[in-house]
Parts: sequence; C-alpha cells; structure tokens
Amino acid sequence: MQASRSRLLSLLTEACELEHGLACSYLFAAFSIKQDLDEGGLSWKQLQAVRLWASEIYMVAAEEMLHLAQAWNILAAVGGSPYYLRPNFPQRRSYYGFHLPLALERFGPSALRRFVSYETPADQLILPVDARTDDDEPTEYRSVGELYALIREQILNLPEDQLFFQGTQGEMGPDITHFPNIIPIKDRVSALAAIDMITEQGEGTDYDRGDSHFAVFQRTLASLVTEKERDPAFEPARPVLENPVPRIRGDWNAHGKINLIRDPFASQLGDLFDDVYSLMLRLLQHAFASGPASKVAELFCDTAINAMTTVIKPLGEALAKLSSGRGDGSHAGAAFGLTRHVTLPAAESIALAVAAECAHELAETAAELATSGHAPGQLGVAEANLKQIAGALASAR
Amino acid sequence: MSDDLDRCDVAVVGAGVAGALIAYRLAAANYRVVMLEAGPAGRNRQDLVADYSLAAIKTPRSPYADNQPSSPVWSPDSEKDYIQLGPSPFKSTYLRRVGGSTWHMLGNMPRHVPADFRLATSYGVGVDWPIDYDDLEPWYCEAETELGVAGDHAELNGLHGAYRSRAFPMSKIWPAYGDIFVAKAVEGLTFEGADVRVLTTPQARNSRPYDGRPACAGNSSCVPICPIGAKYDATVHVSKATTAGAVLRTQAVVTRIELDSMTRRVSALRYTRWDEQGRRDERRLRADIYVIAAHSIETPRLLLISSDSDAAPTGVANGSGQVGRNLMDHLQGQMAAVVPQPLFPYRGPPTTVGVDTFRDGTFRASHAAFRLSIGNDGMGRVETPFAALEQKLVEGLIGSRLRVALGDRLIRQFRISYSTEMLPSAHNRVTLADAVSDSFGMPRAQLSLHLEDYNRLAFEKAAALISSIFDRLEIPDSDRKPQPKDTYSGAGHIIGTTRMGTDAGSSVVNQHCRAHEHDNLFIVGASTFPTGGTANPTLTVAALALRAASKISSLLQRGS
Repeated sequence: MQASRSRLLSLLTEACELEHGLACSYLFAAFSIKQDLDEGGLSWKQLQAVRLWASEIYMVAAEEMLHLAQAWNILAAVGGSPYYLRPNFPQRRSYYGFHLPLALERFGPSALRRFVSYETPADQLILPVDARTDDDEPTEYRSVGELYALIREQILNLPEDQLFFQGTQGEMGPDITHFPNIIPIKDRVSALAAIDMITEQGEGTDYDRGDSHFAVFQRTLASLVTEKERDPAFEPARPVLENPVPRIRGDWNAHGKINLIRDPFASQLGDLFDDVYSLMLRLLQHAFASGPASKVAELFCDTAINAMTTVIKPLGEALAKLSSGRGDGSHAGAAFGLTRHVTLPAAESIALAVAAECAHELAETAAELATSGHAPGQLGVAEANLKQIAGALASAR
Repeated sequence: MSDDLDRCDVAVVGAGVAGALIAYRLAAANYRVVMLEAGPAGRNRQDLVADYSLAAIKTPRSPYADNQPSSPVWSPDSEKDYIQLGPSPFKSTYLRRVGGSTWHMLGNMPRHVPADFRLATSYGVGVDWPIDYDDLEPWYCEAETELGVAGDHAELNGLHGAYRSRAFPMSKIWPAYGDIFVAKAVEGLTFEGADVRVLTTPQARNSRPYDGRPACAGNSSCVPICPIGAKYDATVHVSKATTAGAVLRTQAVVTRIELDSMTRRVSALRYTRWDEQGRRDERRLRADIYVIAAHSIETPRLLLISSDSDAAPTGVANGSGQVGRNLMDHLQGQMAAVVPQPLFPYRGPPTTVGVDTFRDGTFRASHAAFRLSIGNDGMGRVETPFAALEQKLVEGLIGSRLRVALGDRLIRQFRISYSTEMLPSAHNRVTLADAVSDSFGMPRAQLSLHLEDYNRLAFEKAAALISSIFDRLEIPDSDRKPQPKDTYSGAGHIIGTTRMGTDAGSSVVNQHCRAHEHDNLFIVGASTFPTGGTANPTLTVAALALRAASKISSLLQRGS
C-alpha cells in the first residue's frame, strides 16, 4: 500500500472507530453480568467466578478506551483530529475490513467467541486476505492487530520530519489524563511504541499471549463452557435484549436487527445513558484536540473518566436489570447511541459553559428518574455522582 | 519425580515465597527437589473467601480454617498467641500453609535503599550487610518480574540512590481518588528541611493481566486474602515448581535437622506427616543441599531444637550464638481522621502511595527511618466501617438517618500509617520454651522484645509529619485520632534471627545465605536480614532467594 498522510489518517480514524466500538461491545457484555444471588441462576461460588469474569472484561474495555485515546494522540500528532464517531450498533459483517459483525450482545459463549475473533493474533488467523487495496477503497485486514500493522507500515514509510507537527498536539500524557499507560506522541519512536503497546495488550507477543485480551476472552470462554457443562442451570447473564434502543431514530435499523425498549422508564433511562455517554465523549474529544496546554484539558479528562466509572457503569448496569417492557422476560440495556454529533466549540470558555449546562440538565433528569419506584440501586449511585460532576464543571466556569 | 522419594538433590523446608522460588528455579534446572511444608495446601481460593465472608470477626487468619487453634499447625493471629517474655510485646504474625504468609500480606514491594545495607558505616548504628545494593540490584529486577510488581519506574529510579536497571514489568497501580487529593494537598510541604513528596508504592498486584492472573479489581481485601489472585502469593511459584517437577509434601512438619557428626554437614531431615484424623507418620529425607525457608520464628526454632551435643551443642548453625537473636519488625502506628472533603476510600487496594522521604537521612544516627503509607481503607484499624455502624447505632440513629450519617462518615474516613525501622539487638530474640511443647512434642517459641528510644523518637517525628499533612487537609483537631504515645502495632514483617555476615563469629549465614558451619545448609528468608530498613521485606526476600538459588545451582553443577 502506498504511504500517504491521508491514507494514514484514514487508517487511524478507522482504528478509532473500531476501538471505540469494541469498548462498547465489551462494556455491554459486562453490564449484563449478574452481580447478586437474588438475580438467580447461580450459586455463591459461581458468583465469585462471575465477578472475576466481569472484572476482566471491564479491564479489557478500559484498555480499549486507552487504545482509543492513544489513537487520538497519534491522530493529533500527524495532522488529524480526535475522532469519536462511529455508526450505531449493530454493524454488518462487511462494514469493517475484518469481516466480523459488531453488536451489543449479552455475556455468553456467543459474545465471547466474537470477542476472541476480534483479538486473534496475526499468526493464528486463518481467513485469507484477498488483497491490500489503494487509498480509495476499503482496507482489508483480518484482525485489529493487522489494522495496526498497516498503520505501522505507513508511519515507517513516511518521512518523519514531515509527518509529525511541532507543538503539543498529540502529547496528552498520564499527568493530564488518567490513562496510566498513555504515551505522548512526538515522533516516530513514540508512535511505534504506542502501536506496539496497543497490539501487545490486544494480542500479546509472539512469546507470551497469556495476558492479552485474546487470552482473557479465551480463558473466560473455557471457564464458562466448563461451568455450564457441570451445571446446566447456571446462568451468569441477565436476559438483556440484543442491540437494544430506547427509540427508533435516524440511522438505526439500517444494517441489522435492533430491539426497541418499550418500558417507558427504561426507555428514559436509556436516553439518559446515551446523553451522558455523548457528553463524556465530547469532553474527551475537546481535551485531546486542544492538547495538554489547554486550561480545561485536565478538568475535561478528569470529568469524562470519572463519568465512565461512576455514572456510565452504574447506569449501564441499572438498564440491564430493568424489564424491556416487551413482555417476553427480556431486560433493557445500554444502546451506546450516538445521535447528536455536536462537538464542543474550540473556545475553552464556551466549551466549559456548554458542558456545565449539559451536565446540569442531565443531573436534573437523573434526579427525577431516581425518585421512581422502578429505579435500581445503581441509579442512585449514578445520580449522586452525576450531580458531583455537574458541580465540578459549574464551579470551574 | 516419585512422591515416595527419600533422597533428592535439594530439600526445601517451607513452601512460602523464599522456598517456592528456590524450588521453582532448581526444579526448572532439572534438579530433584522436594518441598516439605508443615501446613496444609488448603482448599481452593473461593472456599477461603467464603470462610472470610462468614467470619463474624475479621482477622488476618479468618479465611484459613485449617490454621485455627484446632489444627496441629495453628498459626498465630495476634500477640496473644505467642509466649511473650517482654518487656514489650511482639505483634506480627505468620501463616503456616502452602504459600505461607504471602496469603495475607498487603503486597507492597519496595526495594531497600543503598544506605540500608550500610547502616553502621553510614550512621554508626546497627550493622552492615555483607552485600550492598549493587550486588542485589539485578536480583531485585528478577524478583519484580517473577512476582509481578506494578510500579512507576521513572518516579522510583534513584530513590535515595536506589537506581533501577530495568523497568517494572507492569505500570503502576493507578492512585486512588483520595491519594491524588492528598498528593495535591501536600504539594510544597517541607518537614525538617526535606520536601514531602507523595510517591507511588510498587506492589505485587497486577495492574493488567499478568502471568495468567487477572488485574486488580479493587476488592480491597488484600489483607487477609485477594479473592481473585490479582495479588501475588507464593502459591504461584509452588505451582510453577511442581509443574517443573518438584515434589510438594504438605502436612509435613520437620522436627529435626540431623547432622553428620564427622563432617558437621546436614545428613537428613526428620519430619512427621500428619492428617486430620490424628495419624502421624515419621519419615526422613536426605539431600545434597538443604534449604530452610520457614520464616523468622519457625526457622530459628527448628535450628535450636536440632541441637546436637557433639556437632552443634547450642543449635544448628549457632556457633555464633546469633540464632534467634536480632528479632525485628517494622513497628507501626497510625493517625486517623475524618476529612472535611470526601476521599471515597476502598476503591482500589488499601494503599497505592506513600511518603518515602524519611526512609534515609543523617537522622538515622539518632532515630529510626520511617515510611508513611497513605491509606485508601478509611480509618484502617482505628475504626472499621463496622465499628462506625455500631457507633451510629449507639447514637440512636436508624433508617434513612442512619444511612445518610453512615454514608457521610465512611466516605470521609482516612488514615496515614508509619512504619519504623528497628535496630538489631541481641536481646530481642526467639528462644525455646522448653516446658511448653506443640502437638509434635517440639518446644514452642518464646519471644523477647524491647521498645527502644530509637523507635520512640521516630514515632514522634512521624506523628508530627502526619499532623502537618492533616493541617494541609484542614482537618479539625476534634476529628483526628492520634496513636497513643509509645504504642505500636506489628507490620507483619518478621525479620532477623539468622542474620547474614562475613564473620562466622557474629552471624549465621554468609552473603549467599549459606550457613557458616554447615556447608550444605542454606537458610533463606527475612531471617537473614542483618538490619530491617523500611521496605516491606518480601521483595528483598525474593531477590535473596533467587540469588541463593543461583548459588545452589552452581554448587550442584560442581558436585560440591
């Protein structure tokens, strides 16, 4: 493939989209995992195993978010802009170069097998690739690792002194954003190190795959299958809908089956989830586009990362506990819907004002929903944390 | 390798971290290794966690039913379980089971700093080690890789001169919210002329999946048990050792080290296999090399019990009279508080950062070095969440008022603890209580300890430093709970009792942990430390064990 900046930007953007989609897909599965014996289908001992599986999937999802942030750093360093958009779930098999569908599916053998496929190391791939194509056509690759190999090839074949721009864009580090392993990108060496880190976390290395995403999913799948064989009544996941949506909008239903949440309360909570998720992404995008010199970058990163763990996670879990209202025993779930593609404006004071206002509105909505008798306990946690986040943004204005 | 073997290349007593690492390295090099562990292998981790969950009173021993007093290898759970000769109590405990005390360790893995090896030369107190930091540095790197230590290389490289030649195998455990808050609050603080800096604590706790074990999920119950195995414990290397061909014999209490009366070399280990039905089976194991790795109380106990009127009249390896002497711990205290702002403890491990500023300095001539550990576990031992609940109930709160009040208090609980270095002292020691035997007929250990001014002064300094940090956090005096004067707790760091040195007249083993008097006997573990420094001992134990394994391997190759 011929090297060009536009080709590199295109590949990196695709990597961002893919990392982002994988993180959501993994999170959805983790949200669906039962947390309490009251939910039935598992013994105390099985619950301990299930908790471990959940923590491992959350860990992998967090590393996918790191990969997304890392790809943003590379993008920003080579003349791009942090890209957080992606098509809504589900994506058809042919959408990405690796010919695997992306979907929101509850924890279970089917989802885990898909996850293993995404992260399969290059030397274990069996699907043939027809041909690497030119700039105008979709790129073919067999796994996430192979996509990064293409990016690596581009970086190696472009002149370093022209590829990287002077300035601080692309240099977001762990001091500004709490991704412990994020590498600031200044040159070819740091860019290649970042790609190696991403690939190693996903696939492992030639001599050690034991701790990679690939291995984690394989290990979890094997444990799950063994336990199911031993105890057929074992059911570790909540019966969440596949690809749930709180409402039919825009591009949804274009490429695969979606399932509408019919319970009004769950639907409202689904909307809230999507809105918090969208705000979180917009904050991160603004911070990474501005770079570490920005006065609000640290605040936006802190706020967004806090929101991931203290608001989005409990909201996602709350949704997975609620009835979908479809009368078939199914539960609702988080749609990870991206419906309002409005980035925050570059001007920091305006971005801060808009973000604070949005967080305040969302906190009010959460407070209202939390008063409902339907509200699972996780909603109360999310509501309290969202209020705190809104307060932090407001006090920074 | 057959399990009924009575002859092997290397016999290892104790399946804790030191014994397991040596067994693993030597078995991997194709030597015939047998491990004898007094305690049980126990049940699987989930059963242990279940027992901990069900325990009405949570202590470090709660998960380990087979180490409770009904067991012939019961393990101490508090100072009351020892025969104390005083004048001050010895408070740290240990665990007799496969994996040893690493089961209930916190998991912090700092290195010693260079001056820790040269205390006498640098400050005129204590003794020097026969090795220095440079000798051990490559082995520290090996140990960090074997145990899986997460840490911040750039931040810790060069700490008090402790250079690092290799990065940690994992990036650091990310500081908890409260830790970041406290670090910001102390920015610019100085104490006795030194900058107070909050540094990350290296720990054998996975920050990512590592060595087939998961990343830490923040269960925050590291002491007494990690429910998912994200924290290292020595069962990792026991398993690797047996996979490499080593034989593990559990419930095998070594009752005597036998010596050849002519050569004074160790000729055999006499041991008793026991079971829960009360059956006992006496056996003997012979080897080319013997390794005693039974921790700093059981090791000297066994050496002293094995006295031989001819070959070792005062105990095995005790020609210097130093076996059992120089018993040390890191005497601890803590100050707790209710902070005005919420710090949200218990999200993540019990501690992720500390203050290492006073781990070295010229003050060591007059008072102990100390390290502060910034807690992420509320008030720690001062007021548990259960105690806070009880207090609120006593105050008459119920229902939503109780929930709100408790929620408000628990998210603002905070503690900082300090660990101080003890100097080696001949009268702090393990001896045999000849009149009191265990169920194997072996005299029990009795302990003597003296609290010295060297530590008392450090307690005062550490408390003053914590007070200045509490000032930065704007904590009112009424919300502070200081440590009562001259009181302390144990750190679980049992050190000394078979110290290493170059002089056979004043030490038990040489720089390779080889006994001066019995050239096929190695003694490993924290018992060999001449001084204690302020580092949690496990990483240094592991580094010395790996170094000793290398030495043993070279001896076996030479056939000596």
